[in-house]
Amino acid sequence: MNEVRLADYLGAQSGTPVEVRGSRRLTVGHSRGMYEVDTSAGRFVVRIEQGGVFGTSSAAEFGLMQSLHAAGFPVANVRWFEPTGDVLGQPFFVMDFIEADCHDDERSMDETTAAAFVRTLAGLHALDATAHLPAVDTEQATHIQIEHWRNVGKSAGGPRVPLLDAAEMWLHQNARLPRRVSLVHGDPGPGNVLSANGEVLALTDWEFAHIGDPAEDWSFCVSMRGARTMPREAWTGLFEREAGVRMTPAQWDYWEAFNLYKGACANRTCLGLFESGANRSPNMAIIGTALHHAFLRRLVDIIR
Amino acid sequence: MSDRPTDAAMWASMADTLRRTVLPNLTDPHARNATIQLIGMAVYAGRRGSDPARRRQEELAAAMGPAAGQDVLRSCIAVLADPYHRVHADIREILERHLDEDLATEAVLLNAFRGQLPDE
Repeated sequence: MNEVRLADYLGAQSGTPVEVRGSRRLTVGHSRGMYEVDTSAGRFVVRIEQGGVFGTSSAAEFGLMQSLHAAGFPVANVRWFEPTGDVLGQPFFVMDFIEADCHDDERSMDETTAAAFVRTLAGLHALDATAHLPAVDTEQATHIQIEHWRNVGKSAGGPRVPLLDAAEMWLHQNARLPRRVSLVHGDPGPGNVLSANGEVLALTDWEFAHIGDPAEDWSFCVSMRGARTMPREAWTGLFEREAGVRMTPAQWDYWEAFNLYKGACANRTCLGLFESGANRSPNMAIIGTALHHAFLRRLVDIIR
Repeated sequence: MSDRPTDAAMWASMADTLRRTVLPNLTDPHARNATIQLIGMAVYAGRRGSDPARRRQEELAAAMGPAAGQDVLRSCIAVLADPYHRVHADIREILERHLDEDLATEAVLLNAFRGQLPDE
């Protein structure tokens, strides 16, 4: 990262000269480059786009985080958004650094923290979603998301993937009307939670947030982010105890399929970026091929 | 032997040099992760063989017969959408086999993504 240009930018934004004393890349995350930056104006995290990975928008993420922070929800305080790419070569935003517990394995989480996280996620779902994002027709909410991810996947180009198209049809045909729609994080669970002493300080990585069925989040935590943190039964027991969440096996299957479809479509964007040269990192080639296929395999097994 | 190195030998050199010469000197976690992924990619590139896309489309077209039309993959989608189509099960089985072939070839990539070096 170009620390000189970042210092100039931070100085211009804050109205006072800023010295960047050092920066280090945080290894978590693929869709954004995350840097911890030590400056004369304080410690920040700089979240930099990576050429359009997963088809998500920093502008939307920044706006939502700003709105949630103002409402008192635990998210990092976002400071400035640079949309042009003129400063660091890619759009980015700057947020306050949060001092949190560190773990060798970012997916590890003790029981107290896990319970606090579940309560926090339930708190997100209980918010008035329309105070933060445009309203969505409850009847269409899930179908809108399926279409959204279909379009993200197709935007990557490449040949048709018949099994993925078949999954899309299955998801539309089997979608149930949500009891209610909520603000959905879209990528919740261990690795996207900052905590200290068993308390949640912030949920991170809001790029997938939208209005939809909160079941998407619970399933995502169980089957994706939290899959190696603790067994499925431990998660579902925690959800029931801490948030009153109960779903039928068919509902769990549906939402796992939905999240795998979402992941398979999002992952496909990485191959397009790798091929075009927009992002030459090796993880792009891997996510766009091996991970995409791994998600598709699990998805096909569920919808069979 | 040709008077120039083969792709397979160059990819093997890339993987071996990254593993033995570069990786041991890296301490930055991000640089180490990226290097392990590069090693996986080099091994994959050296072993994956030719692109199977054409052979696969021919197999699908043969299974569908005249229903394959001009755009075989589009026709596959139509077949998968119709559970009563006479070749529905066949096409699904072929597509899943192709997917499993890809996964087998790409296992080295997936392992590298998880931070595991390929076997020597």
